[in-house]
Amino acid sequence: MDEKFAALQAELKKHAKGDGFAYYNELSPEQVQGLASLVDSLGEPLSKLTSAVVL
Amino acid sequence: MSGCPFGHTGDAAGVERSGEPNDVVTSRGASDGGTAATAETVTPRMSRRGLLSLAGVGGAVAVAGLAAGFLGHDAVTATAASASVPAAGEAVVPFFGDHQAGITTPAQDRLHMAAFDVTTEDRKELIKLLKDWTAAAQAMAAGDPTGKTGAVDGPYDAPPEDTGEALDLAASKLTLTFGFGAGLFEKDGKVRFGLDGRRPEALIDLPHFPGDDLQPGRTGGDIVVQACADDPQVAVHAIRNLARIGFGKVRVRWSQLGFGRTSSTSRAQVTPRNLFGFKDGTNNLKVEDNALLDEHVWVAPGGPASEQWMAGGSYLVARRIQMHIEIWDRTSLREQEGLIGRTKGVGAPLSGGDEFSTPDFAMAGRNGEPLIPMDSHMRLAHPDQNNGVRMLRRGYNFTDGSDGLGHLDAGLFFIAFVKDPRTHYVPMQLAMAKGDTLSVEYLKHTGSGLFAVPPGVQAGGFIGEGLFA
Repeated sequence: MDEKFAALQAELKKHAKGDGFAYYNELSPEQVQGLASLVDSLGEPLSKLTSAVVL
Repeated sequence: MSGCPFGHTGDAAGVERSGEPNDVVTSRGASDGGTAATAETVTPRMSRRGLLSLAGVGGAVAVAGLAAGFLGHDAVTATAASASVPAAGEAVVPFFGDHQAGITTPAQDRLHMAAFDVTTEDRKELIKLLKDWTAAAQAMAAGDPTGKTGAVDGPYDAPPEDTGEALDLAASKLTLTFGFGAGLFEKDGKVRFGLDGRRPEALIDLPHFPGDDLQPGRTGGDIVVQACADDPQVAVHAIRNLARIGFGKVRVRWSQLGFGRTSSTSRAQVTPRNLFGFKDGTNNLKVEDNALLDEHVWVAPGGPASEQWMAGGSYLVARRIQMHIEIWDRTSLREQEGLIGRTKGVGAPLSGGDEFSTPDFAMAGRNGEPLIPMDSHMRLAHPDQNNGVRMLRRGYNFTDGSDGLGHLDAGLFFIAFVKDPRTHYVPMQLAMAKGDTLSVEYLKHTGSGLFAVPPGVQAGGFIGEGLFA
């Protein structure tokens, strides 16, 4: 999961602008797709975290 | 299903067609939804299959008691006999075999096909995914949920392993057929997953055909999964759960629902109609044509060593063919039949006879012109015009809503299985795209894919195992 977090952070960094980030509507469909894919990669294992920690 | 004494309504139409081939296990019993739901409340850990079997037994016993009272001995015997086997809608197509299921399996009524881009570059992760998919596919084909704990038996504080929308539904002859696109072997000039030299020669990049209007979001993909079932929710559940298992390794590139089959792949099936209203697939290859299947569908052993993993496999051609149906609907019956080359009612060749009569392409009408027009779809698609090549078609009607201009976005999702697309698809499609008036005026290809479908999986193995050996 550390790897997947790092991958997402790295991709986000590409869109850093000033103090924040570029607006969503400034991204190309491919860039949005890339981010969505990284969020999904992280989201699926993350959803199992609670039970992994609790049980 | 005749002689069922208690008004059993669970038989999906078509389940009990005569002459089912041997590889389809058809089973029966009571599958009344209410009974199954009751059973579920008392046996939460039963699998879907077990559940239905239990419902069958419970229902049958209850009815047997009643029947004994007023129906007499025969009815009791019949009921008791049916209690030993599970529900009718529950026909299960075995997942394991020499060939993958979903090719010669008599075409089920519904389709959900998805193509995935593989996002990982790690060979081990890819193999793990194929193993996980194999386990899930096998479970779902058997009518069971995915994962060890299914949809409702896992930890309360964890998302359920299975998404659950197929609980209470029968296996519905679900088949899952997997294929590999060129992008699995190489992408952007780079070899992937150590598969250097393993891409089969026949896994070509399809050429651009005249009139193609392919949309990138509906074209290509590294892995394809064809889910077919008699219940649409079972097919959608299968793709959804495979996609979920794949997050982080694959991403859905495109997916397509098909609401009705347009081909029959068994002589026991009646020929269905496409959205032009014509019978489609009359002359299709059928499961009963063993020799022809070997000649036209299955990849033979004995190719180059790098391609041995494909022996017993096939190639899947997928084309999303949009139909200009509003324009078609304004065309006279005479012209419609001329474009197809068959009658609309019976589906007989315009040279006469019935649906399965051999067309006489030379027979001329009173004006001296051939009865089956030179530019008709049937003439151009016929094996006689294509060096005798045949394909096993397994297409589905689709509609994806409307186009925003008041027209249906509808057509035929063409699927064909062939032993080599270079000889068995490309020449015919080129001829059609150029000469077939139907194709030129009423059809538009908006999506496309070509996939190498590995042979079947044996118990203990995984999909495409030979490629990674």
